[in-house]
Amino acid sequence: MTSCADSWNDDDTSDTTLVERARRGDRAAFASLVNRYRRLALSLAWRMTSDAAAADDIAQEAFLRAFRRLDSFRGEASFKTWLLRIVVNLAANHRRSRKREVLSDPAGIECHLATATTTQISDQHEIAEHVREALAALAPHYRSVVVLREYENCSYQQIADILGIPAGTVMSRLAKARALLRERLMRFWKGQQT
Amino acid sequence: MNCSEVHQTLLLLVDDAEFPSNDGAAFVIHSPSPGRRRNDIQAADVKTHLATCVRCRGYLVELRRVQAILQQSHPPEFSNAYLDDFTRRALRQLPPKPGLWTCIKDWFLQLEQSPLPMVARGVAVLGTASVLALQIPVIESAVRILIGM
Repeated sequence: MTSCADSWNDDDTSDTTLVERARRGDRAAFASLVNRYRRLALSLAWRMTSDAAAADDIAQEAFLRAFRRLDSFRGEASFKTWLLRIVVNLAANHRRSRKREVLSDPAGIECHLATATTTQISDQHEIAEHVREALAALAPHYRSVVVLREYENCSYQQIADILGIPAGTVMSRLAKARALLRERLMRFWKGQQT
Repeated sequence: MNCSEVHQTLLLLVDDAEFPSNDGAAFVIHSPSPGRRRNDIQAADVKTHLATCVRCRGYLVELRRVQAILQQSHPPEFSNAYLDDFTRRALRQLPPKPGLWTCIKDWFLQLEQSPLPMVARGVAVLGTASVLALQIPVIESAVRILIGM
């Protein structure tokens, strides 16, 4: 699983070099950037929207916007941080259809469930569904900090850089988001017990 | 520290709080990392409070449970075929490379903003325009006739 803490570079060429080459019109350099960050962009978009088709659209759009804005990319943040910010903003603006379909994954995207018995799978599906609902119910500015912290293992400072907000705001949003999630998920859990 | 304050702090400390395996009443909270926690004293205060407050211990248990539930939600997996297709589509949607005329236009715009003296800019523009004009067959023929070639 990729995360903020990981190094994703699968070759020695730095992002800065690739961005510089892509700026000069080198499509292969941009393709390398896409290959390097596509999983992360897709995963983040999927976590933000709970919708595989939307995640695909958002990740595609994020790379297109990144390409179009390469000239305005000044390198103050890393390319990764910059790209993730685009993904988060697009996902936050994404309007999900009110009636969510049973995860209509494009071919090739699978919701992974650990090897388990049928009952366990059913339970895990139910849990996953409640988690998705609880996350979806959060306002985008809360959802983004939870996703980046809990799923992408980003530090407070990394989240602050990605979202362009102070680290103190990240902490207060995270605290609030966790309180809201606790309220929702504990309701589900207590309901299961009775 | 009252229960409400402890709850607020626990919402951030929950990452690092853990139970010793055989003692539910005692809590261990790791020392805060520099720059990551508000301060050590706060964590110590919470620890003291938790030792005596059943309600707050229950709250921490619930927070840990929520985190466990969140982490049960595995990330989606992407097949290599899907990822390859993703890259292909991403590259296909990129705007086409700028054509010759776009490059020329950009060059003129850059020249306009350059610090070169007006005369040098004029010579550069005229020279380039002449070379380009000669690429057009009709003009090239006319020039050849004029200079008798």
